[in-house]
Amino acid sequence: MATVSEPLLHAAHEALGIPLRYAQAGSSLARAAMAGAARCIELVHYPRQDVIDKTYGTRFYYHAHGARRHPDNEHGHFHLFAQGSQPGDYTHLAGISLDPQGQPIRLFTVNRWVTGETWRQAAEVEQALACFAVQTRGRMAPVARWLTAMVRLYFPQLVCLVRRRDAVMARRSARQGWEALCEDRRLDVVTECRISLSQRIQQLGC
Amino acid sequence: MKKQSPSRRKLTETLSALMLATALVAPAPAVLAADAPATTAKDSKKVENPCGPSNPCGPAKKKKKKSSDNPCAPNNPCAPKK
Repeated sequence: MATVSEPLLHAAHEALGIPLRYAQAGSSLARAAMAGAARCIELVHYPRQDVIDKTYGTRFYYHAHGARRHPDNEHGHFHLFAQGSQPGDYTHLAGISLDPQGQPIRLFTVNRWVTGETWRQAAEVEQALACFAVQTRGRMAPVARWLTAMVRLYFPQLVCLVRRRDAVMARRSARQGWEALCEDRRLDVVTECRISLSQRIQQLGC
Repeated sequence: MKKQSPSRRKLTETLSALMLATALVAPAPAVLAADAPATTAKDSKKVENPCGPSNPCGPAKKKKKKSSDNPCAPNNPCAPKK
C-alpha cells in the first residue's frame, strides 16, 4: 500500500467530509457554491464579488455556462486564481466542475482569453498550486476549505493538466502564432480530465 | 492482511456515506439564461461570445472606492494587464 502523507490524508477527509455534511443537511456543494442564490444565471459569479483571500493571494468563484458550452452532466464550475503582485495581475490555476448533485467531475485549464489572465508558464502555475489555499468567513468558508483540499488531493493531476496545457499551446502556437492562439475563440478549454472522488480515494489506497 | 488505520477506515466510511447521501440530494437549480437583452456594447460582446472580450470568467470587478486603501481598487484589478 502506498504511503499517504498526513496532509494528503487530511485533504481527502476534507474533500469527502465537507460535501457529506452538506448532503446530510439536504444540500450540496453545487448549492453551497451558489452562495445562497435561489437561481443560477449563466455566467453570473457566485458570490457576486468572488471570494478573495488576501493572505494567500487567491480567489475563486463559481459560475455556469449555457448548455452548449459545458460537458454533459455539468452544473457549473469553480475558477481558481492566484493574485499576482500588481493590481490586475492574476493567473488562472484551474477549473473544477460539479455535477448537479455537487460531485466534482472535471478539472480543466483554459486559454488566456477566457479569463483575461496574465499567462504564466506551467512551472509557475505549479508553484502556485503547491501552496494554494483559500480561506474566508461565513457561508463560503466550507466551500473554500473544500477547494483547498481538492487542489491538494488532485495536485498531481492538476500539474499534469497544466503541463499538457503548455504543450498544447506550444504546438498550436507554432502554427498560428502565440498572440493569435491566446485570443482564439475556438479554443477555450485547453486541457481537461474527468475526476471521481471515489476513484481518487481508491488510488490513495484508502 | 494489513489492517487499515482508523483514519483510513474512517475515510472509506465517509466515502460510502457521501455516495449514499449524495444520491438523495436534490439537484442544484438548472442554469438559466441571462434574460436581459444586450443593450450596451459590452453586453453585445458577451452575447456574441459569452467568454470573450469582457472576460466573464475573470475575477469579478470590485466597485471602486475613491479613497480606499484597497490596493486593487484604483487600477481596475480585473482588467487584463495590457
